[in-house]
Amino acid sequence: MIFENKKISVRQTQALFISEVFAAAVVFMPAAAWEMLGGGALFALVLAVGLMALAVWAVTGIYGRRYDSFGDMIYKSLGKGVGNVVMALFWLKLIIVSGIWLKEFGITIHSTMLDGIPYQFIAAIIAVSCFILGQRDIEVRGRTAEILIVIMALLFIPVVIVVAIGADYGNILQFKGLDAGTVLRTVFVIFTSLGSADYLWFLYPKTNMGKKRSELIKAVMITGAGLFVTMAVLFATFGEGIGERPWAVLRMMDTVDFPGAFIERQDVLMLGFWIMSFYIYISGAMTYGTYLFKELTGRASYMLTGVLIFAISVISFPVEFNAGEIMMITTPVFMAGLPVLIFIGRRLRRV
Amino acid sequence: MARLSTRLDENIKTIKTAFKDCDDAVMREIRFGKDNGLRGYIAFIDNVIARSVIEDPVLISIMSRTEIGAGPRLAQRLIDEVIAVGECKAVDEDKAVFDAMLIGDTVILVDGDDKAIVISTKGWPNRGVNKAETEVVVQGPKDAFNEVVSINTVLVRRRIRDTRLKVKRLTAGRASNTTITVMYMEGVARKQVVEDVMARIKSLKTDIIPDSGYFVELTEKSNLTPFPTMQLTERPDKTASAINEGRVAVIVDNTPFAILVPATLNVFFQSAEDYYDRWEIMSFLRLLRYVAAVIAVCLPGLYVALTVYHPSVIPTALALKIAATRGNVPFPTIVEVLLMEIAFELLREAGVRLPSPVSSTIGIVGGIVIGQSAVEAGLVGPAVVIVSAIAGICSFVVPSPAFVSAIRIVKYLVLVLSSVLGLFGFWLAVILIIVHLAGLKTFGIPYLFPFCSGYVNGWGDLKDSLIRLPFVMSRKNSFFREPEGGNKNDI
Repeated sequence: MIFENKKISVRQTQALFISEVFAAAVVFMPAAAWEMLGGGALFALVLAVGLMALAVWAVTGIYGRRYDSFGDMIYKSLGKGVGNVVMALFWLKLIIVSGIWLKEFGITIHSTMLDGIPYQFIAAIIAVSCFILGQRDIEVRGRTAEILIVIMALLFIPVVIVVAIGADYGNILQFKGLDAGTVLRTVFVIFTSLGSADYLWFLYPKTNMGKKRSELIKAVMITGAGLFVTMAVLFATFGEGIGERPWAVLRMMDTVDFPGAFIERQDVLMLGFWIMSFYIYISGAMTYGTYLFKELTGRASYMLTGVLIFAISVISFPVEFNAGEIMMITTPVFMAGLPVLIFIGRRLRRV
Repeated sequence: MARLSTRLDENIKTIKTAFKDCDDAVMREIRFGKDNGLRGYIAFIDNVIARSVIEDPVLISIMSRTEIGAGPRLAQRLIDEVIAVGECKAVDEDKAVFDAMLIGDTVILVDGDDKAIVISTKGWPNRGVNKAETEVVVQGPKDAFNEVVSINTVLVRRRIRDTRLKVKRLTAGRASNTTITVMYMEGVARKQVVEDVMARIKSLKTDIIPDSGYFVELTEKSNLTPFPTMQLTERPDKTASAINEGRVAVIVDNTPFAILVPATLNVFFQSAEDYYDRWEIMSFLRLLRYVAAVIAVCLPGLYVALTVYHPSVIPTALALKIAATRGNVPFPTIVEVLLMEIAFELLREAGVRLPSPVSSTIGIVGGIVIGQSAVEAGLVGPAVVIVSAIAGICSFVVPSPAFVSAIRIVKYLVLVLSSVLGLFGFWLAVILIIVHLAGLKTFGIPYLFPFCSGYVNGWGDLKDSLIRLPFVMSRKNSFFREPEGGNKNDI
């Protein structure tokens, strides 16, 4: 039929990319970046976004127009053995990172909205509802993202604008440790916080309309611009106090009153934004995790992927990690290391 | 199915056997020709035919022509030379004879010929062309479809006097043999959609199709959704516009509604009147309908979420007022809201079933009893009454009854999730509804088009969605139209 081509448009890929990357990046990164560089973190952000654009350029270049899926590309580039190892690691990464995000998200909802309900129950509810989207085909994901990103923007942009009006921009001029080492470390931290971009490995081969690479770079730039504005507003609003406020973006609404607003706690608007963006992120992990599992074992089980993600979110590990810390390992591996590995693999295998 | 015989007695026996115990079947033998030497047999179903057609141009013509003699191809000669009726044909199978009689045609058999003459004499009783009842407009045509498919076809045809308007007649229903007419503009409607519609009709396996609702349920691919993916309309002007836009109309006999496909979410918010009045005013009303639909779905759930879980979000003065007015209410808020919602549904259902003078009385009395008395008795708080009433009124702002029904159902999902999980549940319900809608398709087109994938035709359809831009600005072809260069994947 007319739209049944199992592909999504570039616009839908952009919507998915922006909503997934922005949501994950803006949670911890602004506070961490401020602690390292102060207002200078904005310049580090520009560099990190530039690096991510390069990584995205590399990923899309690897695919070209030749491959229909991640499995197809990885097997042809690296062979069955190494390909399976890469896919297994990627699968593990998706399960663990999304599980930890689910936990952190569940805890945040528990502490800000539903203190009478255990976070495990909230995580289970999110997992089940993400499963509903996770098991749908890529077209449905694309269309959902196309709608949700509009709602997210309607919830987020007015809040940022109102907060921005009353912010003290002198705070941005507070710089810290501007030595090369700190700058590089900050760039690294910001780059890793953009790690959800690794979903592009699965999205890009399903993108139609000539798979325009430049459109994906545009998505990186839009994400970067959004982060820049948000960080600038956060720095201006909280200044040194940003580190004391976990999930600072959620808290920034505490600082202002909406003129003539009917509701008294505008942070509920931000929570709507968060719920939607994490919904897309975690359901994406279910979709792509299941895809990798099928490539590895020949069996597709969305239920298994969903259960594993939920299990990670409720298990107490001896050492507690947050998602940001894990992404410091996984992002360089999958957004920098993997393109290099594929490049070398192709050279050796003369593909 | 068997071929007719050249022996008249044998054919008479076949017909009499088939219509045994059918007292409304009229059959009689006639004699005509030179010296009344030829035998014939006329058969029809009483009251479904136009008697004036049978008597003057058929019977009198045949019986008064004494020069007709026996010979080969007698039936064809009668058609060619004697019967003065425009639509007339010869058939040679008994099933064709039975089917013709059952749809109101008259059959004449003649001795010595294995062909039967089928004369179009359809003249079912009908209630004429009346005013639209479910899609009333202030400005615009008032006529509506009735139960006779041929009249409905004419009502559309008179609005599109173009040879590209194609009308295909099919029958479905093993027992009902219901006539289903498919209307579309050749070269304008997407071939894939037309073919899909035809295929769905041909694949119907049912004994009877008493109404277009039957047809919709049997042919819809997405049965697990409250949202309609085919649009019903009783307005010929709306049908003609839709056909001109590239959509396909299916008119089922015995139903005063045409089915329009594809039907995206957007079309359920469009009213015929939108195009008959100034675009600024109608744009405002269109936007209002969307807002009303959102309110109808979300308001009860949002009220429960805010008052039960997050009262700090509500302005203090209002929160205190709500708390004070529901001080003596013995039920939890969710029960309160559910009671009101169910009461509202009952009132609505009772109002539909009763004659209109009584139903308005029921509405007023029920409203007062449930609203004022329930509040005075302390069973519900006044805020809940207001919330339910606003949600109910908002749901009626949407022009499509089928979509209103969907809103009625979906509202409870939001209500239940909000009552269990507060605002988090509210947002979750909103997401789940969007995911569900994003997964729906109507004849291959995403249900959320043009809000999703609207760029495929340069956002042309978006200009007639949340608002209606002036015609000069929205002349771009609708996506429902066949793209230039034939069918292709548009994403």
